[in-house]
Amino acid sequence: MAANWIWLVPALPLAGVLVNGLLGRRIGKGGVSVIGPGMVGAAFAVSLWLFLDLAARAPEARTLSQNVYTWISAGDFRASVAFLVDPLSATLMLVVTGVGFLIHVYSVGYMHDEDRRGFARYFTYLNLFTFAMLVLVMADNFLLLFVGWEGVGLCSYLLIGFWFKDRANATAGKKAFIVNRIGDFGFLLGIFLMFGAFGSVAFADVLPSAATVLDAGGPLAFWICLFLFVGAVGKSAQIPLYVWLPDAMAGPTPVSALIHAATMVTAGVYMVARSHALYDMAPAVLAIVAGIGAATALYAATIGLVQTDIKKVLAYSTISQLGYMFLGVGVAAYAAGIFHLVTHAFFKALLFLGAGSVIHALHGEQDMRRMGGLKRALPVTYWTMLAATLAIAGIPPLAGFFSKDEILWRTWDAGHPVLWAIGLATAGLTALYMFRLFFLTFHGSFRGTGEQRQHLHESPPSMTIPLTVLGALSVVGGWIGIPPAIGQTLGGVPNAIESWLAPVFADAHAEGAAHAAGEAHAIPPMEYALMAASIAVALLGILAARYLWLTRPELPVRIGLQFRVAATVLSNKYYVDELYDAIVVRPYNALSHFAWRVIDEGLIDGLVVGGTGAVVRWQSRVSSAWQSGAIPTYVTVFFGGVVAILVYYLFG
Amino acid sequence: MNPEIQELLVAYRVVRPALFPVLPAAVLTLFGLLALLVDVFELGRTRGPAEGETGTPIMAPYLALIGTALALGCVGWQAARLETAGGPYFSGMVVLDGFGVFLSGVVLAGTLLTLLLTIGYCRRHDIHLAEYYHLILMAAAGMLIMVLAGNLITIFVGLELMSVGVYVLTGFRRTRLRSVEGALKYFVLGAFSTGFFLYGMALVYGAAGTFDLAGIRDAVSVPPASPVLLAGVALLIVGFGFKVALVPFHMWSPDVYQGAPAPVTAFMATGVKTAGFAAFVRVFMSTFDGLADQWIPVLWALAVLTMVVGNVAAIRQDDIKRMLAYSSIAHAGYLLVALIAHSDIGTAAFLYYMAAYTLMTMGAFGIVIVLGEKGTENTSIERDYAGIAWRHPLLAAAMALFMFSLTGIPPTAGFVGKFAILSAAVNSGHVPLAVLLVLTSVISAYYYLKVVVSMYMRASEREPIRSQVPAMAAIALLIAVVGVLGLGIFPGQWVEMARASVVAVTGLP
Repeated sequence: MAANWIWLVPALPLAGVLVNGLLGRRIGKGGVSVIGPGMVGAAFAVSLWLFLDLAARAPEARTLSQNVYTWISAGDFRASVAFLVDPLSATLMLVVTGVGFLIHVYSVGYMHDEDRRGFARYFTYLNLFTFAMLVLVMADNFLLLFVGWEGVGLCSYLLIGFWFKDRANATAGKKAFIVNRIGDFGFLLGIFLMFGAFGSVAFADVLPSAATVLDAGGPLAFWICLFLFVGAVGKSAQIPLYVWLPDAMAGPTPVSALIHAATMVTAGVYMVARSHALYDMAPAVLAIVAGIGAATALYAATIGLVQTDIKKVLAYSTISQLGYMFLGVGVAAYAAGIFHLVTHAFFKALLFLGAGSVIHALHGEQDMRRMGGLKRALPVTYWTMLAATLAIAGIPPLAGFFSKDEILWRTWDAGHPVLWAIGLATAGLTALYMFRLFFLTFHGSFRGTGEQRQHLHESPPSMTIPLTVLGALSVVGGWIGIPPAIGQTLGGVPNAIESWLAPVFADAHAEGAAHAAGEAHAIPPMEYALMAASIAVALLGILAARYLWLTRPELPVRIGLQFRVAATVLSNKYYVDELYDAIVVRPYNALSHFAWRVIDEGLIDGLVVGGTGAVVRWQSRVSSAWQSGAIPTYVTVFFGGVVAILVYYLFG
Repeated sequence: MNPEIQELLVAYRVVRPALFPVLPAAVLTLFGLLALLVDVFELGRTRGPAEGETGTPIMAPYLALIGTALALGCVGWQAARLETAGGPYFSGMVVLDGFGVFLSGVVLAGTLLTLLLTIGYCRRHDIHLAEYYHLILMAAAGMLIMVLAGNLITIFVGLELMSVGVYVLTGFRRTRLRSVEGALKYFVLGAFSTGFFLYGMALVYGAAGTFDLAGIRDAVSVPPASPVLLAGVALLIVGFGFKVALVPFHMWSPDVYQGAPAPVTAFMATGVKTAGFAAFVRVFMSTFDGLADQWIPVLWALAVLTMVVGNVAAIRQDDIKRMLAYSSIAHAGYLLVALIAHSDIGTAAFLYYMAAYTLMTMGAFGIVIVLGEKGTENTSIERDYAGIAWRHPLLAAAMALFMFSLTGIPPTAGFVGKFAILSAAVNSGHVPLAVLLVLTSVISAYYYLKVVVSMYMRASEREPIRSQVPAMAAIALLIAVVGVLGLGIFPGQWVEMARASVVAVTGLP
């Protein structure tokens, strides 16, 4: 019954695209502000209905699917436009449409100054993005997932470049697109290998038979998973393909909140979790996933510590948090990874939207060195941001604490103390740089211009209401995943999200399902110790931030002077952009120049000069007749090809 | 009744069934001649601006359009009657099979779009000669003959009919140096390559004792292949390689594409390439089927070179026609991969890709054509395309769609086509080639995107392009947009049609 209406979820935002795109100028900004958010809100309502329908069923029967039509059918190959709603995709659908809806509403206020045409265009792209993201999470096969995957990349590119007037935006958009193509290249290869091995790309065919078709630890499983992970690294901005995300902050702030925090960048985590049956066959790749996740988490956190642009800090923070998620799925704690994805969507979207509210109040100022003392002027923004900052710092009982701690505990439990230590250090750094941002923005004295001070204002309700809702979610959102270690002492509160996701990940860790069911289970004392450690580290980070940026604000400067090399390296982001420029971009340009100018238009000229006299004479005769004497070159290359083929056939 | 007339009627009755396969080409020839004739008698022309000056031909373009539409109708008729169609026709000189009919449709669709785009272009650029339309129709007739050829001689006749027409069309704007230069280069190099093609034919004849494609297949099916035969195969590869612009036989194409009038470039990029590939694939998939182990390595090397050089060289181009020239070289490489797959799936992928490629390339050139102004074609990506999204939002959106399709991004025709070729290649075990195809497509994203970036994210620094889209061009662009999206979102029946069309090619009479 409900299955017949699944198509509505992606179709509603698509209808929004058509209305806003084709009639946007006619229905005006008022019409667009109703249609744009309205369609996503309706999609949320349908998703909620599907979710409740699922929840009412027995855990094993929680899958709905709908085949819309057969998309490609070529020989054995078949790919359908078909949607799958199971606990995993239902969770993601709720996040995408729910958080998406709030961000759409917020955008109505934020984009208020755009003209009619720009306003309609913005909401067209935003709806299109939501549609593509829903296709991504609802696809029932890898190829359709890839369609959504490319679609979100395309929209992200369009939205980053939204303000075309700024050349930096265009460049950033292009960088995002091209770096993502590298990742997509891996993803596509992974799909092909998978098709070669399984003869299908549908989840229903591939995932259940993974254990029988693939050898555990065999090369085929290794390459399929590795290639898929390359795609995830690009899309989810992990080392070494993270470089596009900080630049992508050039786009409008709600876009950063939606795409670069809550949804698109987490697609890689979703994909790995979705294909966990494959990854369980490739422990070596899982180790790589966990390693890259942990390394990225720490690495990005150190950069975030010295950024002065408020959005850049959040960008590096996102990269770092995505690293946590990969650490989670990398140690086969898939539910924990998804849990962190959900809570992160709440508090990171809120952080971006709050930052947007600050930027809005300061008329486009993004440099934290010219902020400060905004607590009084922006009370709603202040309090909601505080909730989000505490949540990301990992202070109980806010959302981030439970999900982050779950990942750390699972990492330790899986026998990776080093990765756990990296995660713990990152947790401390996170608290430090996030409260640095918070104190620099809202506390102390205002460091902007007098004119900015006069115009300071709280944002309109269309912006503050989404902030408030997300603020509430940042506080209570983690309660869906209370670990047994705490749940038992509270009188048997279950780990709701883990038991909800258990049918999808069941075979991955049956032990997890047992946990989830809330059965009495001996809690190792170690778990409490680790929990205490991460709380302590978070508190330490906050106190250090308070000391450094509120009590002794001159101290960070002195430290920077003291350790000048380290400070320079950090503020230049480890010179990775420069490194890529030197080892990738410049050789690439040189190569293309070489191919075009030298191989294609010139190399043979040299040969011709010393070559057969007849050709030279012909050249001099004809070159006066028309613009360039290129024909002899062309003929020589042509002839070279002929000789090569003939030699191959006759003497090869 | 006059006995002579009676004799003629009897003769007609004998010949009539044989005319069925060449009907579309005959219709094109007839209308091509008509277009020329009405102009010779100065019918259907507007009055010139002054006494003694020529006006604009009115009738010729419409005759050309009607002729092409009729020919397309004939192809539809052929497709419907395909199963009952007998053969051999003209002693096997011409074959009628699904493969040929499918590609006839592609060629004629390309011709139709070319004509729709040409009419406004000729007005804008003061090309007032009816010969233009005549030549397009004659070249298209040559293409159809190549597509249906069952004999090397027929291929050659079609090839020359097509090429001569296109040589002249390239130099049609004879007051522009680039146009003339391009025509001369094309002609000189074309003649050069024709020599190789003929020599290859002669060597194959020497080995097989016949020009008939089926006959050659029977004659060469017994290994080992003689050196004479292999040399013949090599030279045929060279001849075809030139026409479809494979590296290293591609060097003419950027100059010629850039120099030719934009609609002619579009015609070359689609029609000439389709016809060349049609004969190429037919000869290698059916006639030289048994020699696959011999030709696959060579084509493999050519495909690698073509994909790499085409894509890498395209990056540096600022002239959009030149960029599209390198792009069409790169796509020839992708099409070659479908041939190398050497399977029914590969041939079906080839057919599908040819249709998709025709639509998206035609669309891209269509935008180039309508953005031209009197006296200049406005082809600089950096300068002329900057900011046109603001002045011409629909044109820019259509161009973006074509660029994404050429890149191979879902849900466009280009993606499904590329996917079909990739799965064919992987299916036949050519994984490295598939990897290279994907890798070079990643490179291609860079230069296709450059156009989109320029259109959407750069402010224009020149005076705005004053462009009115003629109604006919608008129809052509609409067809291309609908086609690119339709083939991408609902590829089912097209893929099915391509697969059904393949059955016949392997069962060559």
